[in-house]
Amino acid sequence: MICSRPTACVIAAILLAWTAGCGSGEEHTGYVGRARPPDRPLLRIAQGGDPAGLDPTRYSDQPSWRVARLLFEGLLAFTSEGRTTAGVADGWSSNSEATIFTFQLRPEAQWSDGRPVTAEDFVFAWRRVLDPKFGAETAEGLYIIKGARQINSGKADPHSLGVRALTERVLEVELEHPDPEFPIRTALPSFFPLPPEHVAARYLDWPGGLDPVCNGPFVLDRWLPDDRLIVRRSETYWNREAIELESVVLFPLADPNTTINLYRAGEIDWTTANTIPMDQARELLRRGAPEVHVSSVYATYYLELNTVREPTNDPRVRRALELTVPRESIAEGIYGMGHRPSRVLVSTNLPDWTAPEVPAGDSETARRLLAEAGYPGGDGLQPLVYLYNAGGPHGAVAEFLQGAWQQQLGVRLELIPMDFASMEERGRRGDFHLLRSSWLADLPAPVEFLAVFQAGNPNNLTGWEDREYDRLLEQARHVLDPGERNRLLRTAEERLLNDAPIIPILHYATVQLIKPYVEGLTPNPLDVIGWAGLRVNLEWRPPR
Amino acid sequence: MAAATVKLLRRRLLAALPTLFAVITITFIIVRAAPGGPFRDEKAVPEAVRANIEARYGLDEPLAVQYVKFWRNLLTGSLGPSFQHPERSALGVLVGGAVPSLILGVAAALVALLLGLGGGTLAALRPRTSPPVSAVALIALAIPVFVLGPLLIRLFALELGWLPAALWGSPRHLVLPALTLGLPVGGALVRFWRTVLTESLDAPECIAARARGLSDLEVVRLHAAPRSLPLLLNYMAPMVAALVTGSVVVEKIFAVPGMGRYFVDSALARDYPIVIGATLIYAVALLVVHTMADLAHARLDPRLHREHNR
Repeated sequence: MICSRPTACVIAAILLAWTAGCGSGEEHTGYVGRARPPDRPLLRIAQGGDPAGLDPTRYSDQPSWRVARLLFEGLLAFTSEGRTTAGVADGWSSNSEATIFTFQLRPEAQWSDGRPVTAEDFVFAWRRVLDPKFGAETAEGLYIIKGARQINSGKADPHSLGVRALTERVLEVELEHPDPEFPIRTALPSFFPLPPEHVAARYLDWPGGLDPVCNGPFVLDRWLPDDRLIVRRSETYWNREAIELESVVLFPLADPNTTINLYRAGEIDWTTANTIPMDQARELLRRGAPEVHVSSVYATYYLELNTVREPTNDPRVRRALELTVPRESIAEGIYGMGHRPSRVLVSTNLPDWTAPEVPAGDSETARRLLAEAGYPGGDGLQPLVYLYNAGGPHGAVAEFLQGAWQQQLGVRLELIPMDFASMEERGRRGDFHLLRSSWLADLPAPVEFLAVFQAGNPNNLTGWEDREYDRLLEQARHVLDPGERNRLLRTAEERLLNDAPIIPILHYATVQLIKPYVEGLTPNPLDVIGWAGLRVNLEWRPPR
Repeated sequence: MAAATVKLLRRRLLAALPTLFAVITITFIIVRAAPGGPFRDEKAVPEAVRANIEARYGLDEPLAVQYVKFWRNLLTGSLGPSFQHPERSALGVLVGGAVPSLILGVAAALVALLLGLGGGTLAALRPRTSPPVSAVALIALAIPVFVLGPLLIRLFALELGWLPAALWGSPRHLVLPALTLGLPVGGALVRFWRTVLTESLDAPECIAARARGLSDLEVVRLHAAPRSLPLLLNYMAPMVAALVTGSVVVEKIFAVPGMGRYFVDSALARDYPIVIGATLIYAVALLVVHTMADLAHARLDPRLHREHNR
C-alpha cells in the first residue's frame, strides 16, 4: 500500500490539473480557444505544407501558389471573394473572335527594386515557363497561347510564342483557339511576370535561396524552410494603400492536430482549407462556432472505371454500380462538412452553369442492368479491384461502397490501399477495375472538368474515348456565346455520364477557422485570397 | 591511449567505408525499384512536360548512368537538388533539418538519462521504492508518443498556457517535444539501469566498500556505476542515434523543422536524393555513435584498455 502511494499521487495530480484546466471550456466562451488579436497588424496562417519554392511560375501546389500571390501579381488578380479584378493590367480588349487579346499595363506597377513592370517581363516569363530546358510542371497551363505546345515539345523556338510586347505598356497575346475568358487565366501564378535582369543569371533555379525581386503586395522577409515563411508589406506595390497588413506569417503545418492546437493556443489566426482534423471540424460545426467557415469548392470526388478490362468494360455493369452508390451516406456520414452528394462531374455551383440530366434509375434498375450484362445477383463476377490512396477518408469511402454494392448487387470489391505514386503507376498500367480520383478546377469553367476525359488527356486512366465528346468540347472552345458554349458542354457531359466511365460521388467543400478579429477574409470556391482590404482588428475584444 | 584510440578509429573507419557503400547502393536500388516516380501529383501533366522534367533531372538516362553520376556528385559533396524543393539542394534540405533534430535529440537524451539513471539508481538502492518507480517507468514506456505528446500539449499549452503548443525557435519550444521523445526512452532506461546496478551492487568490491563504511551513493559512484557503464553505453548507443536523427511522430506533432519527416515524406514523394541522403545521415550517425561508445567502452573497461594498448 505504502509503495503504491506515490504512483497514486502522481496520477491524481495529473487528473486534478486536467480537470481544473477543463473548467474553462470553449462551450462557455463560444470561441475556439484563445481569441486575442496580435499586438500589430499581423496575420498568421497555417497551411498544409511548405511551398515547393518561390518561383511563382514553376510550381502548382497550393502552398506555392499562396506564396506566389503574396509576392507577385499577374495581369489580373483575385479579390477576397474569388472574383477577378484588374492587377498589373488596368485594361484589356480582344478582337471579335476572342483570339487576340491586348492588355494595357498600369504605369504605377513596379518591381520591388523600383523598376516599372513592363510587357517584356511577361513575354520573358511565359517563354521561360515553356522552355523545355526549364522543365516546368505548369507549362500545360500556357498551351492555350499560340505556338506554346510546339515550343514546350522542343519543336519550335521560344521566340515564336504568340505573345508580343507592342510597347513597354502594351502586351498582345494570340491564342490557339478563341477563349473569351482568357484574361481570367492570367490571374494564375504560371502567368505571372518575372524581372529578366535578375532571373537571367540563375535562369533554371531562380531565385534559388535569394530574396526574389517581386511585384506583389508583399516582399519576402525571411523563409525558414519547414518552419515559417514571413513576408512584409511592399513599399513599391501599386495598390499599397489598400494593404493593411504589416506582415504575414505562413506556417507549413502538416499535422491537422498541431494546426488546431496552435489555433486554440492563439498562435494561428487562420487555418486554410481542410487543415484541421475532420472530427473536430464536424464537432465545431455542430456547435455552431462562428469561427468555422464552410465553403464549397470547384472540386469533385469520383471513381474511374476501367473501360478496357472485363467486366467494367460493359457500360451496363458501370451503370449498375453508379446507380447504387450511397452518396448521401458518404457525404454526410464520412465527410459531413458541406460536401454535396452528386451524380455529375462538373461542379454544380459554377456560375451560369446548369447540370445535365442524369440517367434515372434505382437499385432495381441496377440489378436488372447487371443481370442483362450476364451477372444476375453478382453471379460469375470476380471481386473488382478497387485502388485508393491510403490516408484521409478514402478507406472509409471504399468500405462504404464495398458494403453497399455487396448488399444491393452481390458485387464484391477487393480494396487495395496504396501510396499515391504506386496507385498512379498501377492505374496507368490499367491494372484495376475502379480507382479513386478527384479533380480540382483552377478556374470557374466547366471545360476545366470536362477536358480531363478528352482523348489524350493524361489524367484519364479509364481508357474511355468518345469522338463525339471530343468534337463537342472542341466546338465549344470556338463558340463565343456563353449560353451556346454551355449547352454544348452540357451535352458532352451527358454523353460522359450516360456511358459512365466515371462514377461521381460528391463535390468537395472546405472548412476553415478564422479568428473573429480577422476582417475581409472570405473563403471562396477557388480558395484564393485578395490581400487588399484584409485586416486584423487590433481593437477587437470578446463581447462581455 | 592516444595511439590506441587512433588505431581503433582507423579500424572503424575502414570497416565503415564498405558499410556505407552498401547502404547507399542498396538504398539507390530500392528507391528506384519502388513503383511510380517523382513529380507525380493528382494532376498528371502531358508527356512533353514529363519528358522535359525527367530530362532536366537526368531521370531519362539509363539507371547505371544515373548511378555513376550519383556517385560522382556524392564524391564532390553533392546529392543534387531535392525533387520536392527543386530550388534547394538535397544536402541543404537535410542539413537544415538535421540541426533542430540534433538539438531535440540531445535534449531528449538528457531527459532520458536524468529519468533513467535517477529512477534506476533510486530503485536499486531502495528496493522499497522499486515498485512505484517501476510503475512510473512502465507508464512512461507504455504510453505511445502520439498519445503522450497531445496529452502534454493539452495540459501544459492549452489548459495551463505555460508552454507553446508547437513550433520552434526558443528554449521554451524545446520542453514538450524533448519530454515526449525522452520520457519513453527514460522509462526503458529506469528498468535497465535498476537491473544492472542491482547486480553490480552485489559484486564483492561493492560489498567490501559498504563494509568499509562508504555511503550508498559513494558505492554507486565509485564502484557500481563504473562497473555498469559499459553495458549502459551499449544499450544507449542505438537509442541516441535514433533520437538525434529525428523522430517522425514527435517532430510532426510539435511542428519541429527537423529531418524526421523526410524519412517518410521523401519516400512517398519518391524524392530520391533526399531518401538516400537521409538514409546516409542515419547510417553515419549510427556508426559515429557506436564508435564513440566503443571508445568510451575501451576507456572504461580495464580489460579492453589493456587489449587496445597491446
